[in-house]
Amino acid sequence: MLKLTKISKTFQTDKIETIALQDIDLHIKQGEFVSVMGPSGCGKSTLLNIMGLLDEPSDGDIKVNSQAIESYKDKHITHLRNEKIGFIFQSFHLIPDLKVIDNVELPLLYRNVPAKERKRLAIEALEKVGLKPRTGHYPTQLSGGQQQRVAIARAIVGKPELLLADEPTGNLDSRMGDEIMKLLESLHKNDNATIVMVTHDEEMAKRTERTIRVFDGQLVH
Amino acid sequence: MLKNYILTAWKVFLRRKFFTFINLFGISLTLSVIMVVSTIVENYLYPSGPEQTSGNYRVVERLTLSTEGHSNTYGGRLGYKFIKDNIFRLNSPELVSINTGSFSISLFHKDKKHEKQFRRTDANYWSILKFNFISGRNYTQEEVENGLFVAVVSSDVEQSLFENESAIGQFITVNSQRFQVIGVVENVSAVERNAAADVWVPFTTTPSTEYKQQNMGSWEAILYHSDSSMLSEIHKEYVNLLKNDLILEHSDGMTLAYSGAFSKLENVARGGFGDEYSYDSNVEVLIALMTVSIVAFMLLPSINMINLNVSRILERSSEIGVRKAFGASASQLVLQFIVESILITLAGGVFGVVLSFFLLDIVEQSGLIPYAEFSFNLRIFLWGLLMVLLFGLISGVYPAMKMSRLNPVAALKGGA
Repeated sequence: MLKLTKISKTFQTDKIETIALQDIDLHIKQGEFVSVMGPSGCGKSTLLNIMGLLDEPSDGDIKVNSQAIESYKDKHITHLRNEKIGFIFQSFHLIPDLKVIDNVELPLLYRNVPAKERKRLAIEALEKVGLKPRTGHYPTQLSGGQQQRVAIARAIVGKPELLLADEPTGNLDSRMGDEIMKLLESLHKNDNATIVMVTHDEEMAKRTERTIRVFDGQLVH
Repeated sequence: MLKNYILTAWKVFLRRKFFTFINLFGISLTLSVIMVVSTIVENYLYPSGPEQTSGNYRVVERLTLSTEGHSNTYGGRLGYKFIKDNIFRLNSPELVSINTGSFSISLFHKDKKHEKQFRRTDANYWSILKFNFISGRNYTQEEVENGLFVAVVSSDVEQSLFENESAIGQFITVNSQRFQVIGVVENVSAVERNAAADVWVPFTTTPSTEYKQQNMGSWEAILYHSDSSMLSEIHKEYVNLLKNDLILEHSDGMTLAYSGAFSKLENVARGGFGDEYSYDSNVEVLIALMTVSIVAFMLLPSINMINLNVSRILERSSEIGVRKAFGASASQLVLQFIVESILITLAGGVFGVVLSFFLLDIVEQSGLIPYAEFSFNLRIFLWGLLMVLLFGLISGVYPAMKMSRLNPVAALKGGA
């Protein structure tokens, strides 16, 4: 589903060059639930951003469904992100000015899905995360756990092939974290979703099928 | 998509009330000033009173007489003799009218003194300019030729001198001359400067005949043609006459004359920026200056708004990051923020238009421009709308472009 070959990422600030990732080879298979672990600043999030085509690698190749990413030009890459990838962020990143349903509809909006169909799909996604009664609420009217569930509904509404979750339970207490984890597990089991999740929590990582460990920008085997 | 943009914009405006207020205040104030100025200019250039025929005439207001080598020069308004010797010989105008321009006089009635504007004219004046007579009539060619002491007065004169009585048949005294009122016209706005006055009398009632020998004076000539395309021909013929067939008697050695038959705007340009030794008005300089002034006047609040918009948009970098992550292209984001910018400028425009009505009312009531009645028409409204949209675009495009180029990862982290 996603293949990274010899991926490197270097950040240049003034005269200092920081190597964030070095020679990463990674293959995520269709339907896998993978966790990425490592200490803070080791490059986990950078790796996730590169997998999600949010950031361009300094070197190396990425293939999505055997198709190489040749161009990082805006139109091409935004289209790919919109169609194939769903994101779940640690701090939810819901748009506070939009209602829950409008937040969930967002990926469909950029896919030019008609309004009625958008609404139907958004309600379906919210139903999956157990938040159908909250469609008319604003994000600030929800608890942290509920906000993350809305963020998951937004990530899955467009039925992407890959879900990327960057510490999705990091801002939640253990009970709510467990709820979110169960939700991701059910999406994996029932919908055969491919999920890559960055986490600091060993227990959460144990619940995934495979754990990748990153240290100083390199994969540790 | 548009609904989503509008919805977001509305919520942002409500959430950031102070920012919205500052934006609306800046836009509405700028626009109302521009609208007020353009309404006054519009009413000046396209009058609706007696000068509504201004599209069919040109006015000769200024004249420069000079010696060869320009060692000695007179400049100013025209004298009667110059008009009679030269302008009356033009073939292209269908009608030529002369008048003294308006000047202040003390008008006495029942031992009371009234300061009013006075103008001496010929009979053609009433044919070219379309005065609205409330009662009575204008004076005729015959009455002018016979130098009859008759007068047309404004309704303001009728009310202030005769209160509830009709002015027709009554007498007024100006500089010891007694005139019988034969007509009353509606007040004329001071912006119609070839028509405005309170009292009009035949020019042949001038106390002295000295004016008949003067090349320079206080006169102006109105050259009329029913076919407006002939007006440039009139100017050409006049200039040709000045260059090749000039008659200048009693001119103190002056042999050269520079002047032109100009439109209202051209006459303003000639007065302000014209070369006194030229036959052109330099109207292009005036138009360029007006354009630059408007652009500069709009540019300052635009730059301010650009600054405000940039900081406002950067505060929303997380939203930009999310939108990018979920498939928004740069052009879609640019469009979203331009829609927001145009929406707020449209709202500011509405306030601006309302504010303009109040400001124009204050200008009218202040008496700053006597008898002014400024009408708001479709053209001014469309101009205003264009200004609003331009304003919205100018202040929205740059910030929108800047934020659409944000790296999604940096944007999600809340940085630029």
